[in-house]
Amino acid sequence: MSDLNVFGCWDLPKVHAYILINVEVGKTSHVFNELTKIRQATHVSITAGEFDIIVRVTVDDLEELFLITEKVHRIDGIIKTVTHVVEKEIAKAEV
Amino acid sequence: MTLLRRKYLFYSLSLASGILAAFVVAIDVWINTTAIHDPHIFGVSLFIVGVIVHIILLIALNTKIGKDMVLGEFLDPSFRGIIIPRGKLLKYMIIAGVGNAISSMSYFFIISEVPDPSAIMPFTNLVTAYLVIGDLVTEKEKPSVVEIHSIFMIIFGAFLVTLSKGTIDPLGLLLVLGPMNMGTFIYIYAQKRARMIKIDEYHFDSVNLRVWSLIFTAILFTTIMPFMIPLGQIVNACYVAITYFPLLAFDMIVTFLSYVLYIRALGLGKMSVVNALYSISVVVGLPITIILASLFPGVFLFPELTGVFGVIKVIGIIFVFLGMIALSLSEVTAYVFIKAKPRETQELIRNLLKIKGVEYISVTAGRYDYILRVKLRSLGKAYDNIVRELSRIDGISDFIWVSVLKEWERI
Repeated sequence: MSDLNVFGCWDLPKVHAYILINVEVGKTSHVFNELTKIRQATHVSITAGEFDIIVRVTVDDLEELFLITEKVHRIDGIIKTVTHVVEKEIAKAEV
Repeated sequence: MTLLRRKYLFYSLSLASGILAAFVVAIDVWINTTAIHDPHIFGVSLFIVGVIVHIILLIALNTKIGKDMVLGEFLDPSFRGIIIPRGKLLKYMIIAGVGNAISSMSYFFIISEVPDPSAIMPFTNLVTAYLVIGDLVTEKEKPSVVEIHSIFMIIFGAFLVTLSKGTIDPLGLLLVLGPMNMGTFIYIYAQKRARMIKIDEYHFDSVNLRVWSLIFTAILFTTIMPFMIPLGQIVNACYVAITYFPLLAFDMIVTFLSYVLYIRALGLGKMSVVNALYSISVVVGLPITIILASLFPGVFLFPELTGVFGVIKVIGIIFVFLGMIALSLSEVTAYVFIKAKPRETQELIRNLLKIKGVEYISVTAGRYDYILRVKLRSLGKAYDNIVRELSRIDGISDFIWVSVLKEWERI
């Protein structure tokens, strides 16, 4: 994740995580709009399948991730969340 | 930074840039017919004024408004003040300058040496085809087959719209297909690479990028110019630049805006797609010319719309629009959550990466072991490309498919 930036300094590695959310019927738009207000959210997707909304967040550390999950829990209309922390990530081009 | 639908922003930036470019062409014609008739003097004087205007704009956009906010942020949210390029950035800015200089120089050579330059200019539209190849070779996100089909439809459409009478000179054609298009390709490619470089957490902004690439073009241009253009003409161009400064400055400000939007679009998508959407300029150029020709009959000429050329132009416009609609039809994005059997992970990751359409694989701690993000042209392809492949891979105990219906992305 870390890389030398243009000033020759190391960027601190960031922590990525997926928050998988199940939403009450009829509350999807409300929850979606609230989630897009979270500064650390990089992708917010409404999905069809086992989950209703998938959020990808990028944070500095796990402490920050905890604060975000707390914030998510406070949104009205959310039934359940599952958080997956990314340990390693491989993009297709890197191989 | 606000959360926007990436696709909408990408399309609006590319198309707006193309529309502005159509206005630039109209302003160019205006200046060329009413004020500066010689194309060489016009080109050189525009260049001189351009460098001055760009530097003034860069300084003006650096003005602080309020706390932690500069004026340029309205044009490009990643603008954070003047940046002096160093290291990798400097390298790409020089490469961009070289590309732009090669392309401009070929243009000057063609307009002075080749008979009927307007007959071979439509071939500059083919630069998008070069960008397709560039994207295929260098980009992480390679253009899909349908994207390539749509892009070529746009290329041929734009080619037909710009087609005009005259003989096609073989040397001129060679110059357009060789140095001129290659120069433009290098210019766009270097700008794309520079745009992707991050400074702190922001991408290198389009304002600095445009200004610096023009400055490096100017440095190269001034070293080679004396060998190509007689000194008398250069002196003349300087004189013209001073006389018509406001007119030329206006032209360059619109050019600047068009480029800033173009570079921002480059940061969001594939070069070939940006350039294909930018081709809207040739279509928008037609109604602009017709309106201006009826308002100022002496200055602007009516485009040939009767007879064979009219039919060809209409076909071209239809091609451009069809291509753009086909391009904008969205791809299917999905997440695949995978549970793995306990065994060697490296082998499994390698197998997962072989699957077509997989963007990235996240190895996670939680209920699922891997989360794949996939992008496909249609849901029908999902079975063939992904589901069947996944069931073939040894080491997967279970997986679920979650289709994305709507997505917002922070940019």
